[in-house]
Amino acid sequence: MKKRSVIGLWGLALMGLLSGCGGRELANVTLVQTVAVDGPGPVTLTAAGDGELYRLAAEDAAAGQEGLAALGVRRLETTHIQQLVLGPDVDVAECLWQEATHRESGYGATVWLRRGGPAGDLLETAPDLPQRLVSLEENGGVDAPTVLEALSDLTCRGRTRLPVLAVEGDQVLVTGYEIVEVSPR
Amino acid sequence: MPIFGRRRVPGQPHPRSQPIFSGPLTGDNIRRAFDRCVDFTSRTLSLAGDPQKEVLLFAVEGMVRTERVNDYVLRPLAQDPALAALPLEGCFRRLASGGLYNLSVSPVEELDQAVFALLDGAVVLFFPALGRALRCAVATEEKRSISDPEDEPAVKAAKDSFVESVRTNTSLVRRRLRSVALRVEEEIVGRQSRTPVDVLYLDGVADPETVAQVRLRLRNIDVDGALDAGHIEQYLCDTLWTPFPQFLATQRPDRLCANLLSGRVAVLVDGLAVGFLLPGTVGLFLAAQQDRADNWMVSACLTALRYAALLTTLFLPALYVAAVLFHPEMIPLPLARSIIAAKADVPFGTLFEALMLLLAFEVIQEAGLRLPGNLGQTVSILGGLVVGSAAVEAKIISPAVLIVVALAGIAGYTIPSQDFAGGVRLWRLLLTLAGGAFGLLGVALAAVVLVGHLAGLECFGVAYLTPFAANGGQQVEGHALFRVPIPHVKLRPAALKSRNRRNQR
Repeated sequence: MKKRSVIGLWGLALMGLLSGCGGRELANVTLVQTVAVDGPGPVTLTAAGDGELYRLAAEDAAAGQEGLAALGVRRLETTHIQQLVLGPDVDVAECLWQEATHRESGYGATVWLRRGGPAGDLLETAPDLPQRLVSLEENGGVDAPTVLEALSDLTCRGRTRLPVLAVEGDQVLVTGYEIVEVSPR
Repeated sequence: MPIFGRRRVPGQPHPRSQPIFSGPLTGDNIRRAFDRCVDFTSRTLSLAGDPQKEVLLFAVEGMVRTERVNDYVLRPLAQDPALAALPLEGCFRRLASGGLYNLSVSPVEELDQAVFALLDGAVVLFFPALGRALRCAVATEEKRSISDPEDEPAVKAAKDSFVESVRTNTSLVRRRLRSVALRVEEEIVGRQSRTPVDVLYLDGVADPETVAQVRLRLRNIDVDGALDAGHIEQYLCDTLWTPFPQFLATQRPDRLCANLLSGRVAVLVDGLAVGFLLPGTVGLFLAAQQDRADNWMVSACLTALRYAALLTTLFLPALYVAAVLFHPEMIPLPLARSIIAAKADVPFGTLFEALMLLLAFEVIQEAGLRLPGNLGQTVSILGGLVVGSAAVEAKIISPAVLIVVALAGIAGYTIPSQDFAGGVRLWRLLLTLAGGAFGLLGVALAAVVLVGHLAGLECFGVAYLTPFAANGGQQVEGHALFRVPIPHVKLRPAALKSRNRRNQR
């Protein structure tokens, strides 16, 4: 009986470890929908979700949720990222690879480019950018590839075509497409 | 004090004296056995008016039918001219062999027999000069009339149901199975209640080993009274450590007969308006009598739907809690956002909410069952609609959890057997706890434990998971989810070990 109890307790502890030591309430998190990446130098991430905007230095984000909590930021849930906006000087291939291999965010987000200013500013200018980008895709005929599609193009063909965003007044527009190329490794 | 009551103290063995009433068969001993019983009555009679031929009549009022006693017993004793001419011994023989207008008259030699005959509703005629007695069956047949099977309604099926009289119930079965192969054996269970328990089976069809086991287990029951279904079920079943029923309780004689034809054994208990079918299997508990009456395609779809509902009621709350707490990436964005919005001002955690609502659902159901018809419905409406919507509006619970629990609850009602549904409800609670504690990993592990538990169950040597599993060394056979037309089902289920598997040409 004692042996069974010990095995049971070890089993429970193991289950706790395997399952991530407790769940998190959805009500206490912000679902990040759009992430703008600016860099290099100090890489800055601007995250938009649930009408809120969060600007983080990459090292804070790298510190994990504890780091975010230390900054007074609500827990950011990166499981539902829909759009990834990359700034002018960002290494696109590296960024896409990081996004695709991130264990939570995955590779379903669409990829956009921002030229002529930081990508984070775009989110500040248009707080409802997530909805606008969805509208551009659904109603404006814009063809934005997903992270997986873009990465696949870059890997197989060495180049991919990404839509470029610009701001005119309070309008967010797609000015065209840019061919992003990588040199074969 | 332990949770499950006081610590068990080794006590005296249950005394069983045989015979229960010892002593010679005399009028005084019979009266002594019924001392201080106001319903016991005795009367001294003279055969054909001859004071030398004295007879004592004993009966228990309310157990005998007065008109029958008057017409079939007292009238011949007083008016039969042949009794005047015969000596007392001759009178006894004449009365035993047709002098009384009764279907059943038998001599009684022992005090025990006489006492229990009186308790069964017979009249005992005691001849003091001979020290012998006659037992005349004149029991009253007052009982509830046969009514609709309220708990198992069906459209294209018979409308009669079992009543509390075991003999009426056996007649309902006999009227459907007019076969001499239908055997009806009887055991008396309960020292004080002396409840007749009948075992029904089709000789040559049912597994003789199962029949022998049922007979043996019934004989081994040594309790004071067998008044409830539990008194029979819990003594006959293979294991007590499961929330799932091992026998199917049915109100419907047609369903009982159909399963007798399949090779099952039935148990009818006097005083219970249900029949028990064994061995019980998962397939039996998820089948409804209506399935045989419906078109086979419709029936196949409905059976599949029922299994889907079973999975829904078992796993939906657990999967919801696991997804919300551990795996939000599984939830589509619009749904995730609406869940977050709905939970914005709710003070309780998702697991706590789900468990409380599941318990509240059980409380409302229990309250509805315990109250008379209309009042029960009112409680359900008040509890389910008014309190539920008020709780959502007051932000005490989130609507998503309410919807999930309500869906799971309603899906549970599609299970035809309420006993089986009870076991499912208990496991639903455990699965939800596992989902809240360990996410999908916990749900998966609890599901494995559940399947392991079910796979470990056997009822009279038949695998409980039949038709999804088979007895040792046998192939899985038959149809579970998808029914086939009845003309194509030419064999009885192999799992029931029938001696004659062919059931049609």
